[in-house]
Amino acid sequence: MTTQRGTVPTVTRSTSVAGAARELVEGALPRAGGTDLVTCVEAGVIAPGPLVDLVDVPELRGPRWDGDGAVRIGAMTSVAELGADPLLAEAYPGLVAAARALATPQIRGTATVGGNLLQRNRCPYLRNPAFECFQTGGDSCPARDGDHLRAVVVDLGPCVAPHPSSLAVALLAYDASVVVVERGSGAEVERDLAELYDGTDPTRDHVLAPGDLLVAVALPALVSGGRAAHLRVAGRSRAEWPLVEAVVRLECAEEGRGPVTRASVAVGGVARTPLRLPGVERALVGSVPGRAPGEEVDRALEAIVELCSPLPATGYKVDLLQATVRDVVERALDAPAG
Amino acid sequence: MVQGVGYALHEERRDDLGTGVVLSDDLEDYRIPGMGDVPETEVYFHEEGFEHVAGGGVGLGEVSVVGVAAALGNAVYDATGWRPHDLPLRPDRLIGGLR
Repeated sequence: MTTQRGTVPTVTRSTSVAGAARELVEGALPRAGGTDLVTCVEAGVIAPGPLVDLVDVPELRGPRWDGDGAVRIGAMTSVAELGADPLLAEAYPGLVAAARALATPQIRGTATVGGNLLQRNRCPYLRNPAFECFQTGGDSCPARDGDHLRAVVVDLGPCVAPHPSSLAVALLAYDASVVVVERGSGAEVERDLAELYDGTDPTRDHVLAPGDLLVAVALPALVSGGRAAHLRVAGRSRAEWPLVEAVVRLECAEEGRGPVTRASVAVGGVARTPLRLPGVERALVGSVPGRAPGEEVDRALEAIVELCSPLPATGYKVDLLQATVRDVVERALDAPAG
Repeated sequence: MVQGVGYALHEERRDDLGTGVVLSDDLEDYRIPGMGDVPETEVYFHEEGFEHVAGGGVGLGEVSVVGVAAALGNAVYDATGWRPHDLPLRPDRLIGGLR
């Protein structure tokens, strides 16, 4: 593998989804915020080639609410715009909290929702030109037998790099879907966010084919009385990738004062994809806001151990995952009802 | 002081043991403290230093790094009862120590 430092790609600035889709079919790569793309090309993670810049496509920008309270957030909405939107903060507080916590103010101002979901993982082997791995045409994962301190603790497949997207964790907790303009047909297809990732495929970080264009994420309308909390656990307080991250969302009876009727718990930093924890979700039904979670929740948190398949150096993430989920559950039960 | 926080909590060369390639070869993987990792710091000047220096100053340089790590190690012991013996004081080491 060789590095591509200094290569200047051709960049086309498209002004419409249809125009951008045409460029993609011709073989161009999409550029959203571009916070990581140049680095990836220089490191040999992404092959150099023509780019189509999406920054001037107005259809891809900002939230669009329908009459029923559901919303579509354009893929080119910046992470900072997402974090500063008062309506989104009221409806989806766990998502907005995740947006506000990631990276740095400079990156949040440039990085986009779509780019965050489709970004490449942070494995130091993937980004080091001295190594080949499944993601760069090789046939092994050097991190698995090498340095994998930050790698997965739920081992889904040959690659051990945790999924890097914080927004994906929050969107998974909110049952979001993604809207993709598919290559060839040009048709808009909506599918569950969970289907965007395949933890058993070591060769790529998402399943979109070259030429597919992610145009928006769609969030369902929420019943009133929701509560949510988010926590990102990292070795530094800012500008750091999470070791474990969790979003808990609760729907409660009696406009938020009554017991939990439905819970969703999503975690990141622990597997090749963001994960839901259905055992904890089931156990949370019946919990009462403002009170400590009961024995059933304790047992479900204990059972997280059984989900885990730690690598030699990632056993600490089992404890970290349990403690983080417990903390976020307690915060969600204490959060104000929306 | 800030460098001492890095020495205590973050800075670490990571190698691939099979090839000897340095993995921590940029400031994403070779971690140093950011604004949020450094506490408010009070600085006291010892004003009876070298006679041959204007103002009596004594340059401390990296000597001041050493005490920070010891202080943070003591703080971990005070908070948890577990005495760390390796730097940096990483999350995995702390969790391992508490098991």
